[in-house]
Amino acid sequence: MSIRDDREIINDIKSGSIHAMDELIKKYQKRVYNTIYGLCMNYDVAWDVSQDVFVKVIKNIKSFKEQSSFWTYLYRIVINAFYDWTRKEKTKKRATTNFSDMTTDDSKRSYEVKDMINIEEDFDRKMLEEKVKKGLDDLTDIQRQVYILKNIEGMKIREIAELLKISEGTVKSHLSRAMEKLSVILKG
Amino acid sequence: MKKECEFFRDKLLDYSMDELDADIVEKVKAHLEICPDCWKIVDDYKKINSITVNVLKVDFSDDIWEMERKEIIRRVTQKIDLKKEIIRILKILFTVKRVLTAAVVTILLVTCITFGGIQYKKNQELNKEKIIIENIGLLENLEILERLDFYKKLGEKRTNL
Ligand SMILES: [Zn+2]
Repeated sequence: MSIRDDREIINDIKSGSIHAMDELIKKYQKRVYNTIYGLCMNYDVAWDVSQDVFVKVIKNIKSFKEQSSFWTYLYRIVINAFYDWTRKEKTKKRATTNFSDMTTDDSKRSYEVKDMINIEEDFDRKMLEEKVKKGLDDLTDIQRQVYILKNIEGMKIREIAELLKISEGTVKSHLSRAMEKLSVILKG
Repeated sequence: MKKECEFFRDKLLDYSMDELDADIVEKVKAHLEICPDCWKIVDDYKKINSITVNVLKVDFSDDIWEMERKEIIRRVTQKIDLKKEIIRILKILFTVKRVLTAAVVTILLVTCITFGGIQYKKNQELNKEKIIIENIGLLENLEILERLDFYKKLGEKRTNL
């Protein structure tokens, strides 16, 4: 089946098509999951928050006005949902400062998401992951966001500036600061 | 730092992120071939990116993604059902309201009829009273007539004597 235009899919969802819902989620679920995972590096949090995002988006699909691209619209909801979640989590556990140490609402899930991952959780990867986590923890929220959009999403600086409503110069300076901080990974 | 490097240094990050115009890309490439210092900087950027991307990019098998979609759709349709449920209850409430309205109207009607009936009975009783009074009047008149008759007869007896 050919990949349909977002607008067509969304119109079908508006008229109640379950198939179209599946189509839209399929198109964006990896991007959404990876965006959230990049921000928190916690498999379970990324799983739960991305589900909440899609439930919210589909339920309120009528509020998507087609002026912006669907990804722009979705990305803003993802970021809001993520920060809502961290705010709630921080008030629940004031002592926790590290995202990766935070727990999720396991009562909703009977499984651990990290058990389903199809990558080798070997020692080398674990070590590297720890280093990267430390490096990413040193970044500010906006630096991490910009870094992920550039390097994971493969977006252009111009597109990131538009999405985050900041100047291209600001995006560039966030990127170079992020790169500076992350280069510690190689040196350490 | 070599004077030539100065020109290229602030372009190396953009180069590694594929953000430079094609003509400058060619110049950077040419410089990297002859400058190991700048080449090392670009190589470090690339290494950092590949490590972080490797760690940050998560993928599951297709059936896991499918499971996520099913879970989302289940939650969405469940919410829609809840909406339907609320509408159903509201409809029932409206029906109840209709029944209530009907009941109120019936009560009003019954009250009116009863009240009207009572009023009618009262009127009838008043009428009866009137008739009785009239009858009493008649009886009184009859009595007077009878008395007159009696006096008349008495008068006749007296003349006969
Ligand atoms: Zn150089």
